[in-house]
Amino acid sequence: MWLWFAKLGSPKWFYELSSKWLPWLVVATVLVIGTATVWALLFLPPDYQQGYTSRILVVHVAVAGTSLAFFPLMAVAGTITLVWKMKLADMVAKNAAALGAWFSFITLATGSIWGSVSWGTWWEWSDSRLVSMLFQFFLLLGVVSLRSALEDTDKAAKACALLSIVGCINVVIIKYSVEWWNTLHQPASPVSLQTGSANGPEFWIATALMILGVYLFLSVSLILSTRNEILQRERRALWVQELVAAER
Amino acid sequence: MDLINAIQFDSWAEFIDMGGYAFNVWAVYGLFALFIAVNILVPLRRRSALLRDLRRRARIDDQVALNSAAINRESMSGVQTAEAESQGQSDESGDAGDAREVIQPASQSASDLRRSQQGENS
Repeated sequence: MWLWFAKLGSPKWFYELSSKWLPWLVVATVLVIGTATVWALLFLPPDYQQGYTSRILVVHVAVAGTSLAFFPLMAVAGTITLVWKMKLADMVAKNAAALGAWFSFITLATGSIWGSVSWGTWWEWSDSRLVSMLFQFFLLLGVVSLRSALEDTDKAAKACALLSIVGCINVVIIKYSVEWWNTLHQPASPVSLQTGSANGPEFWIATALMILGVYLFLSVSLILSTRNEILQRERRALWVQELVAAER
Repeated sequence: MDLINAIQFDSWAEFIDMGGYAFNVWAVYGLFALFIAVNILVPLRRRSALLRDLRRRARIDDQVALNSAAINRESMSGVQTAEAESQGQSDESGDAGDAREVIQPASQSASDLRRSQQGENS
């Protein structure tokens, strides 16, 4: 039972397994994001109110929804770091913070571009969804800078793990902000089977496909940067030196 | 054919125009493409830089090992000749001293390397 867990924590094991999986993940990512993009840009019927700007939402909803996964992911990795001191978990957490900041930024930017047409404003300080998402962006930048500010790798890992666990509270706030406070940002539309409506199957199937694609992209990017982190931190390990020698 | 009929636009110009929202729609998709490209290409570039660096270090380590092996051999033979010479003349200490001087730069570069590695860690 504990054997796979111990194996999972081994950077070498992760590196070798990800070498096998990476090409397939890349192919899947290209196929899914490609299909969702072509579908959204070419085939999505214009919404009767939003017109073609509803195409923006396919990207915005997918990136925004996925951006909420970062704090829970970092909290789980952080807990593993704190309890079992697993090196790999901390490497994943470190790279997830920077990628999560990117996700939050793209969520804010695409939302802003959509809002400029739909709401007639780029930004609204009184909107709880917008402000809590901005807060997530700053929190993630905070985790990144906390990491670089602390020289001791172990201390940095522990501090970032704690901040990640606390940061999960904000994810709950983002998620329910549109229900707790009645502001500009609309709540998620219920999925409808009626074609031709703004939340009809054409729209949500494209969005669901885009969400899957964005998650695949997240895993590809995170695996790539975690592999770099492994090479960097384990560079004195024999297997890394052999690997470098083999690629010479 | 159904698929082509399902396309919402009749011309390229219409497709680019996006019902008058060309800027907003294309800005979002452009940003999305940039976001994906950056977060794939940056780790890939970092990987090749990292591998280049690790390879360079491995070469330096090999060179240091080779040098010190050569120096060991040299100093050993130096000691032997010195011993041989000392039986004849008594100002033989130069040879062994030279060998020790050759060792110094090699060990210095190794410790420099270690120091620079520690510097990168912090």
